[in-house]
Amino acid sequence: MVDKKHSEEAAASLSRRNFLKMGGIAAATATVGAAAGAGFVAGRDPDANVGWGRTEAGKDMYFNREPFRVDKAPCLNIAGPIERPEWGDFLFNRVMSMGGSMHKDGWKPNKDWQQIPDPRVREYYSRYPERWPEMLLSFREKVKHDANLEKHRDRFALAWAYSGAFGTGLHSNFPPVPTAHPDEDDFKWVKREPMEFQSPAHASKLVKQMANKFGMSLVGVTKLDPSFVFKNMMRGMPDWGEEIPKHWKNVIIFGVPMNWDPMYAAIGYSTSFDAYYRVKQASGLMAAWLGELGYAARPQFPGADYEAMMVPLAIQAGLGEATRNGILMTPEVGPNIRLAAVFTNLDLEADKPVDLHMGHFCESCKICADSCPSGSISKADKPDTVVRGYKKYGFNQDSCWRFWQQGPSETGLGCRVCIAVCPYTRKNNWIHALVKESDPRDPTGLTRNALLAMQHNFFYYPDAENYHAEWSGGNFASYHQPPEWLRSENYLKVEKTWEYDGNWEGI
Amino acid sequence: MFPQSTVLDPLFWMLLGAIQVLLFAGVNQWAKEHQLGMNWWKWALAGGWWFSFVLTIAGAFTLLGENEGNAGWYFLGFAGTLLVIAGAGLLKVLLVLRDKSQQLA
Ligand code: SF4
Ligand code: SF4
Repeated sequence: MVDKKHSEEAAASLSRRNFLKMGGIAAATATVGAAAGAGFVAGRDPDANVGWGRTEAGKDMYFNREPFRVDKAPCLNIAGPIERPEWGDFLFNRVMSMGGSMHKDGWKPNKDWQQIPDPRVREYYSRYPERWPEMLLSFREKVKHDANLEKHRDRFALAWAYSGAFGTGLHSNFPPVPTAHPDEDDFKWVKREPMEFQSPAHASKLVKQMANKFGMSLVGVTKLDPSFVFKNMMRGMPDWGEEIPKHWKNVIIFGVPMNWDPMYAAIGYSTSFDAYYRVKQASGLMAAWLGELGYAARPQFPGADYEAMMVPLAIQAGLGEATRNGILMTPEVGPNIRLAAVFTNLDLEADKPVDLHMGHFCESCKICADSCPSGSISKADKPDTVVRGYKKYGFNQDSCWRFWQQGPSETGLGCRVCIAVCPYTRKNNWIHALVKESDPRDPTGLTRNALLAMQHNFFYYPDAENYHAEWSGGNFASYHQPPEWLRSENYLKVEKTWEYDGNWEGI
Repeated sequence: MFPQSTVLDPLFWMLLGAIQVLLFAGVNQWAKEHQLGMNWWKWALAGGWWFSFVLTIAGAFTLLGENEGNAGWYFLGFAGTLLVIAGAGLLKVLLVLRDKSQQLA
């Protein structure tokens, strides 16, 4: 009887042990599977699309800049006398002026830049004569672009429709382009005597909340630094000198990312118009809101409605840093950001710039420069040129523009490859959140070096030439393949005759 | 695992936590049978290895999920190989220490 009881106990103990052992193996297998599954959906999760797609309160999508505030932006290094930008420094001014000369006056671009009709454009090319051949080439390339475009509509129909829809919205007249002297135009929405805020800090706090409520993902405030205000241009005024209106005291500057998946599929499948549309609308809403409270407002918005340079103002407002490709780099969305601003006479408390060591990253990264299909970005180890007194990496805006004109966007506007490939252009999932929090806090640079080693060795980057359209020698490559909803073969009655070159899920 | 899901996502993480208890009980049983003489630092090393292994898999698949196919597989291959070697090394150490303690006994 006792023996039987013992053997029953032994058997029960054995089966319990076996259960635990087998259960342990099953649990380990399930955990590995769960890690893979949870990881995969975290990568796919649309909630990682930082920006307007998420809740405006979305706490963890914002980077806490406060520990990194500094008095002077590390990327605004003064290396010579500061000069304000000229009318001609703004690419779109030159392009629009030359377009006008061609269409209205019958001017034909030729090798001699000195024959350009507009003296302000000539002034620019007298400073950069080596850039004129690129601009000249852009006219020819645009003709080629237009001649070849329709052959590829089947492939890009949905992407171009998406872009075109936002383009139509973008070109609406809200906010209206100024048509009068700023002393009049900037006050057109002022409804009453200014309502006094409790303090500039209160005003800044509320203004930022309003920017979020108007759909903006990132917002900062800075004093208007005259060194970034264009000379000789003022919307609404045929002639203007160097004067800066007195009521332009503070700048509220904000931005949103471009929709992530199309942006990664630059060039043909991407567009800036989605983000441009959103920031433009927000600049109008912010101006109208300020007017309701009795304050003057001057919206600055894309495509080309500016009196000042947005990137340095955003740097001064602490939104991010300047980097190799000349675009603003933010900790949340990298350079995937489009900016607009409002100048106002409302007293605001300014934000300080930030030091996130992004410049160090750029020194060793160079991925954008290697990927740029027009070779417009400097590959130097350190900032290698001085522009209007500031040390920065060399950038050839004329060759960049030439590539826009030949690339596979419907309008011949925009490329965005340097934005898509940048290692800072990462969604807000857990691996990138860990990295973006740890790198700026690591004084040894180990995190940066490990990341760069991974970026350079593990990630696939199409060859720079492959980003070109077929008509200029490429294969329409993109950093990521287009998302499902932009693939016309998934929705339209088209025959798929193409292959994709770009990163994909790899399964 | 179930983004934006109100019910499934918390349930999933609770279940995964519960499974780790079963995992620990199972490993404990194996360790006893093989007389590994587990103590706090052996458990810490084994737990650390397991955590790194699971994190590596999750990290690699996150990259795959966000369409970084190349990076995901390379990362899994590189970090995964290192971890498998480290895991084999850890097992060897545990077995050697068991043999030593048995010899001493
Ligand atoms: S937009 Fe394109 S062409 Fe211009 S700098 Fe960036 S990658 Fe080069
Ligand atoms: S791709 Fe690299 S070098 Fe270029 S802006 Fe981004 S971090 Fe800097």
